[in-house]
Amino acid sequence: MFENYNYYRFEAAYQQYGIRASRCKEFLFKGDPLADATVAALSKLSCGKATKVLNQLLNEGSAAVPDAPEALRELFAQLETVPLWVDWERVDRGSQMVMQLSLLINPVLTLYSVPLMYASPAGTKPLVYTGNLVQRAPRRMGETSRFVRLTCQPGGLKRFSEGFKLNVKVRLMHAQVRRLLLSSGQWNTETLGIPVNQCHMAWTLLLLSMGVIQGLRQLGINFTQDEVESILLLWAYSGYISGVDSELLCMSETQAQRLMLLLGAQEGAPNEDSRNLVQSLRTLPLPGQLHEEAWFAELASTLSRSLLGDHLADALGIPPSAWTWSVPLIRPFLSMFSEAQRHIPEVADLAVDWGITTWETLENNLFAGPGEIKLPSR
Amino acid sequence: MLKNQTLAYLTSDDWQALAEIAIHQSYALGDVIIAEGAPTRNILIIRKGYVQVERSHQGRGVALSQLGTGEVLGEMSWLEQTGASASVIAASEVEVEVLEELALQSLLNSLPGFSARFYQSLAVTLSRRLRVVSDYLSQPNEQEQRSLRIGNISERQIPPGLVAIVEQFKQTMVNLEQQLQRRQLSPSQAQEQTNLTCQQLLNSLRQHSQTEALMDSAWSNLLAFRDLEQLESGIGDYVFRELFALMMSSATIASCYSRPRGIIDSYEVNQRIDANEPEGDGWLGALIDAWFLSSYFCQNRRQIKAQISQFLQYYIEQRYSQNGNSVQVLSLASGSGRELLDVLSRSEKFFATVIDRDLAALRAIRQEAEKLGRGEQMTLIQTDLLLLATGQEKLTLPPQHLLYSFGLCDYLSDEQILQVLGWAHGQLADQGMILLTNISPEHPERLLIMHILEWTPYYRTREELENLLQKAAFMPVNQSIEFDGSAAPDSEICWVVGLKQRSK
Repeated sequence: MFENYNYYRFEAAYQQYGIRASRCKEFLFKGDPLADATVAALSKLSCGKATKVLNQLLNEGSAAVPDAPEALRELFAQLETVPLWVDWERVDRGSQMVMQLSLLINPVLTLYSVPLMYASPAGTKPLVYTGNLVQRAPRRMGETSRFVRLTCQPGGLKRFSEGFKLNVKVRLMHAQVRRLLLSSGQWNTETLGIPVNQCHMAWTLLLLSMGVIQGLRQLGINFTQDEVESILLLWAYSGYISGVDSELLCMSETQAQRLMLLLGAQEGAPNEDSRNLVQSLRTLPLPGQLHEEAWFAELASTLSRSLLGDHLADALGIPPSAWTWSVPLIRPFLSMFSEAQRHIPEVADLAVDWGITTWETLENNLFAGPGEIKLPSR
Repeated sequence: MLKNQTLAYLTSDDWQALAEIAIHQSYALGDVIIAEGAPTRNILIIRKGYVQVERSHQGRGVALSQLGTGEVLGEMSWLEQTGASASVIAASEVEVEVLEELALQSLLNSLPGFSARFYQSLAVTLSRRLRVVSDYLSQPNEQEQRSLRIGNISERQIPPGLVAIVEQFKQTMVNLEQQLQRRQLSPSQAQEQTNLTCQQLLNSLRQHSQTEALMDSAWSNLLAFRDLEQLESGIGDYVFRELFALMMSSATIASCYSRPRGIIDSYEVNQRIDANEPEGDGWLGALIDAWFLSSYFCQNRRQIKAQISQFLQYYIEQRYSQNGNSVQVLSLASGSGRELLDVLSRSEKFFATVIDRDLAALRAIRQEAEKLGRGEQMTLIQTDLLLLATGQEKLTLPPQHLLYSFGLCDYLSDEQILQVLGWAHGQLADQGMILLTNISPEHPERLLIMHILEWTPYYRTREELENLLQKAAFMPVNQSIEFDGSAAPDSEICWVVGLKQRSK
């Protein structure tokens, strides 16, 4: 199942990045020790008790559950310690910026960041084990969207906020996936690294932060350095809560770009699973049956190819589009839109309201989803 | 006079003094040497032969133990100054040395230091026995408790496909019941539908217990933090709870369930499976019972007993034809002993000893053997094999030629099997054989056994059993004989034969 495919390009990455590539490779074999110990401890409790203890810790804090298992107390000690580098004013500015652009963030996630995540043949492997790789695509996209929204909403990462709790839950879900796959006897660690390893967690984090910024820039949105760093700081703290190793948290654009290139260089070429997953994104149930409109599919392909580049888009099976003229046309409008938000508070407020409403509607559609997703013919 | 462990602190002079007061007595097979409750306070030391210790509550002919040369009897009555706590019956021609109460008392009073050494010996012996009993009682016996069947799976993780099949099963059974009440179905039609529905349910359970399906369940709610093993149990828990009322209307399933986790097959369970006569409560009980009795699980058990019976017959004939001597067969914890009784009815050439904890099974064997007029050929001992294997209980047997056990390994860990094999090795004559069976890990009804019967046997392959035999210094042998009727496939119940090699 695994042996005939090059999931990684270690040699090429080493030639390009030398010792940094070697260090990066080590993170493929590293999980999240605190979360891994936590899920092991929770598995020893009954289903109901495990949920109760976790919810109590999330909702009331570790002080309220002094008899929680040791592993959970250690995890929450880390979670409840806010690192010195967290500057809340800056985190709020990052939140504000994302909220103002929320109308555009979902398309960038769907057409750029998530396909880039799916491009990793080893990173997508855990999804293959769900047995519903394609069928669960709408739900997964809905979950990703909700994760981004709750993380980025103002105060989203403050202790006891919904975003904070969701970050912790996602962290534990990743740990549970690791535990399940490693104990299933079906996972080849030597070939793939461990499931949901530090490299793939960092890659996801970067695509939700720097990746989204890059995508928006390509569509014409302008960012100041402070805005970029505020967004990166917001996501770095999300990474801290989600169990990403501190060595892989980036707070400047240069750091983020360098790490993205390094992680990208290490990954193998997209495989059939990658293509199936990307194809499933093209049939996501959208409001107003938008996904069934031919013009919409054409526009989505055009944007996706423009953002990913033809080479990667071809590798991911995104069909060529005749509407390549549309992107240069869109850019000036979006550029003006972002500038208007920066200078006219009412426009910014309106953008936030529209963005959140659209975002929530989209999520509801994705979670409601059709019974079965069929792959489009390629 | 024979020195022994019970009186370990006596010196050679003490033994000499005892020899001088001892009275030599002989008994024929079946003689009552000591009667339970009799006021005798003599101490007896067996010089030759075997005696059986029996208690009235066990019934006639079922022994608590069998003792041989060098063993001491009557020491508890002597100490407590009470009547005999059990009867002692000669199991062969027996010679004993009798130390009469008054003569022994006189020796205790007159021989310097003898009294202290004598009582110290008895105190140490009794202390050891007390320690054994305390250890036994303090051992947690998890097998005697049912496992807690809750908290293994979250609601979202129960596969919808399985839920649909379970609901369909229940509905079908309700419909069947109504049709039977209204006489709209013949019994054979009802049976056919029951079999089909039950089989569909088991197939669905099997399908949803595969690794891929369990992985899918796990993914349905990662925040339930369930392992695949827990999910497999959880799926079984769900089916068990949903079907409990219906399944327990089958007399055989209810009998199986009455044995918590299947410590050891009960006489009743074996009788029901052997008899293959469906019985149950309500309109559906007998139908479900018939389905269960026709399952591989029950079929295998009947088949394997027939096979063992044929093997015993073959072995006894072979061995008898070689030297004309009778053959000693030892049956270990094999329940109703149906296979022995089959051979007993056809052969006078062997003597069988049956060791089992199940008094009901032993009594039934005794009755059957006597009906056949072959009671003399059977020695029945009610004791725990593991206590014998670990040296906590004593039993002295003449060298055995063939030792077999049906189903025992299903309930023993590897370590326990090795203990039993070690003990068995000591009971066998040179070139003696041992036959063991074990339920196979590939058994098609493993989930039925686990989730509905709530039995948790140890599954082993033939190779695993052979490895255990080798570890216990037996040589696995290929004993291929033609069986009449169909044999239980190795993929369901495997069996192995081992040979005790000649002592060097």
